[in-house]
Order: sequence, then C-alpha cells, then structure tokens
Amino acid sequence: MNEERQAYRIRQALNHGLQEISPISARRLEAARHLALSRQKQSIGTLATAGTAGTDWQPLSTEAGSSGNGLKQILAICALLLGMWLSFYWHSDQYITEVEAVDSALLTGDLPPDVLLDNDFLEWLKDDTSDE
Amino acid sequence: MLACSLTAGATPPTSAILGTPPQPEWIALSASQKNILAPLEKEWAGMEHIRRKQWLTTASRYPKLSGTEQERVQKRMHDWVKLTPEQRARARDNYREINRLPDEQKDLIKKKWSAYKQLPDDEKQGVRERHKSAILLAPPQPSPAESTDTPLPVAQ
Repeated sequence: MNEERQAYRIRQALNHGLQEISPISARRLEAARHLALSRQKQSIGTLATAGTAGTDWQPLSTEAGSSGNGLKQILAICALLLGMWLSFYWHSDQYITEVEAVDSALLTGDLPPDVLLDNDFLEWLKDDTSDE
Repeated sequence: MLACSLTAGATPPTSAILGTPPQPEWIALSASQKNILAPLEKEWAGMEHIRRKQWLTTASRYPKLSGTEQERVQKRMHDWVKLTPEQRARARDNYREINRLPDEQKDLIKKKWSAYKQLPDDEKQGVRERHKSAILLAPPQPSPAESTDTPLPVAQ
C-alpha cells in the first residue's frame, strides 16, 4: 500500500507542471517518448534472437528455461547412445549365436574342417556320377 | 558351386564388435571353462572379445555333447583357432552349402568320406585322380581267380 501511495504522489507531482509546458515542448516530449518506445521494442527483439542464437549473453529471466533445455538435450543424447549400444549388443548377440551354432556343428560333425576347406575334394565327394 | 573366394563374413561386423562387452581374461575363467577350452589357452590373450564370447558359449554347451562330439571338439579346436578368418569363413560357407543338400545326398557324402579315410594314405591320391567318388561306395571287386572260380549268374 505504501508503494502505491508513493507512486500516486510522484505522479501528482509530475502532472502538476504539465499545464505550463509549451506545445512545442509537449510535441518534443511526445516524439522522444515514441522514439524510446520504438527502441525498447527493437532491443527486446534483439535479446530474444540473441538467446536462441546461443551467444554468451542471455536474459536473466530465460536462464532457468535454457538450463532445462540443456538437460533435456543431454538426456536425449544419453538415450540415443543407450539405444545405439543396445542395438549393437543385440546385433552382437545374434551374430555370436549364429556363428557359434555353425562352428559347433563344424567342430562336432562327421566332416572335419580341413575337408570343408578343400573345395576340390568336396566337389569330388559331391559328384554322384560313376566311372562308367 | 562351393564358395571358393574370400567371403564377406570373414570378420565380424563392426556393430557386433562394438556391442560385445569385455570378456574375462584366461585367469578369470572358471576351472570348468579352462578345462574345456584348454587348447585355446595360448591364443586366449590375443583373442577379440567377440571370439572369446563365442568360445564361452561353446564351453557352456559342451557338457550337453556326446562323448564322441566332445572328443572331436577337443581335437579340432586347436587347429580351428589357428585358421585365418578367411579360412574359417570358407569352411562355414561350405558347411552351410552341404547342409542345404537333401538328406540322402548328405548321407552319401558322409559315407564316401568315411570310406575314403579308411583307405591307406598311398592310395588316397590315386583314387581321387583316377576315379569318381562313387567308387568309394562300390562293393569290392572280386579278384580274377575268384571270378573264374565262381562266375556271376547270367540273367535268363
């Protein structure tokens, strides 16, 4: 309440001399006010773009929001890395299962690996034709 | 046609290598794993994690194998690990190709191989050079003396 009363008194004091201001001074004051308002709008716009451009200076009021965005970005990157690793792990597991099954069959089967490496001999064995 | 060129699967894909977590050193293996994988002891330290994991999977399945299969694994493991990645890939490709054949043909190949390995070493090369493999499954030819003594019956 004290603040409002103080503001009211200041306004009254400022308005007290308004009747005595010449029209020329009034127009100059009006022009100065418009100019000040237009500059204020430009500076707000500049600050907004500066914040999004990632410059060093950021408005005090957006600090909390930007740190929240940074955390979100870090979490997103972590989630992406985790997803990639899980995908690689699954791929590795599939690969090992498949290759190990073949290798086990090779190591335990009737045909030893050295026979399976001899393509000519395998072709000879596969040939079903007879000598005649 | 059997695979005769270098295969694309000679080395594991990068994503599979990256996705394999670190595998234990030889000293950290259990007594049972060391016993089964004993032929690989010298190679273990230089082995990639993905191959270590593969062998540990083999070791986990080993107790379920028959006695004959366990014996084969022990005999072949050491030579298998000495092969180059390209040779292993070729052997796998040839195995897959034979495995795709009809069962009858697979059995024939196994019988021929079984007969071939019974041959004396000095005869093996000659058989391969002079005959088709069907000779391995042919009944033994009677000697000339036997053939004159007991002529084959002539069909009426």
